[in-house]
Amino acid sequence: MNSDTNPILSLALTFGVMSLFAVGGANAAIPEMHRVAVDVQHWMSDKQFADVFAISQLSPGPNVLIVTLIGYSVAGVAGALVATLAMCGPTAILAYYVSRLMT
Amino acid sequence: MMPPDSPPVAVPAPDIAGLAPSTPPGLVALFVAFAKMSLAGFGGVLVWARRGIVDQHRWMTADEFNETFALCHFLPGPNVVNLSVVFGSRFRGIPGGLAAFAGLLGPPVVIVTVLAALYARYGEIDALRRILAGVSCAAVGLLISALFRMMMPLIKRRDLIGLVIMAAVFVAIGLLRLPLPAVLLVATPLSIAIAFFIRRRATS
Repeated sequence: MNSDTNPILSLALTFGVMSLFAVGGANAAIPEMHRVAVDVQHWMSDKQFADVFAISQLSPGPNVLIVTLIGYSVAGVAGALVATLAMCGPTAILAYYVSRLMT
Repeated sequence: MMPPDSPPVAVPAPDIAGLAPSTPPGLVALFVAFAKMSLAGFGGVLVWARRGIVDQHRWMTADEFNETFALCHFLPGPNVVNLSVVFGSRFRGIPGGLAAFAGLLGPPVVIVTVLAALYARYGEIDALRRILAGVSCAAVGLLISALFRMMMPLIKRRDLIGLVIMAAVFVAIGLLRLPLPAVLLVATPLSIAIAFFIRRRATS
């Protein structure tokens, strides 16, 4: 993957895939986010990740918005939006279809 | 800072059972209701979602809410986000799902983006550094306490196999730092297979 070339694209890919594996909600995906953002992609340092986690817990809204903060630190406002939609969109669509099947 | 993962039965909200939902909400009402719940929810929205949907608006009975939440909890992804889409679309189709989704995420995303910009600019100031260090300690503590709440049933039931799988997943993710998809693709079929064999041996 040429994820170095386009940060927006690699944000979309990273969180789009992660969203489908985030069983048990956003907090269960925190270790995976840390692994990807700090160890794999080198988007931020350990310390920055801890800060971002703290900010996401302090702010209103679903805890998943830690991805908004990660996205912002990678690629500004566009990164924040792309990361949020990538993390929430795919499973939202999945949830829509599954719930329609069940009713 | 309730974790969004806690089962809805644990939420100490007064249940008004058996009440039929009032008039189905329109698109604007969906957006506003979810925006309110979301902005009220510091560190987790589920409690407020339940309060808003069941107690305040009476759009669903407690049982309906629990069923819907169970589905959204079982599916991957942020539970409350899934809930907003499933809930909104049940009343107003795809536009309803989008309205609830936008209400839940739009306003807090704006706030969080502003905070991110402030952090990018002032994050190195010493006082802020120390405040954030304190908050992240508290947040990690809350995460650990949520973890113990989820682990206690396994310990109380003396569910040895469950505990072994839990420990194995912890080693894989926490110590070996293996990718989550790989771990899930191995651990999930494995634990289903083990549960299947145990049940078959118990019945035969």
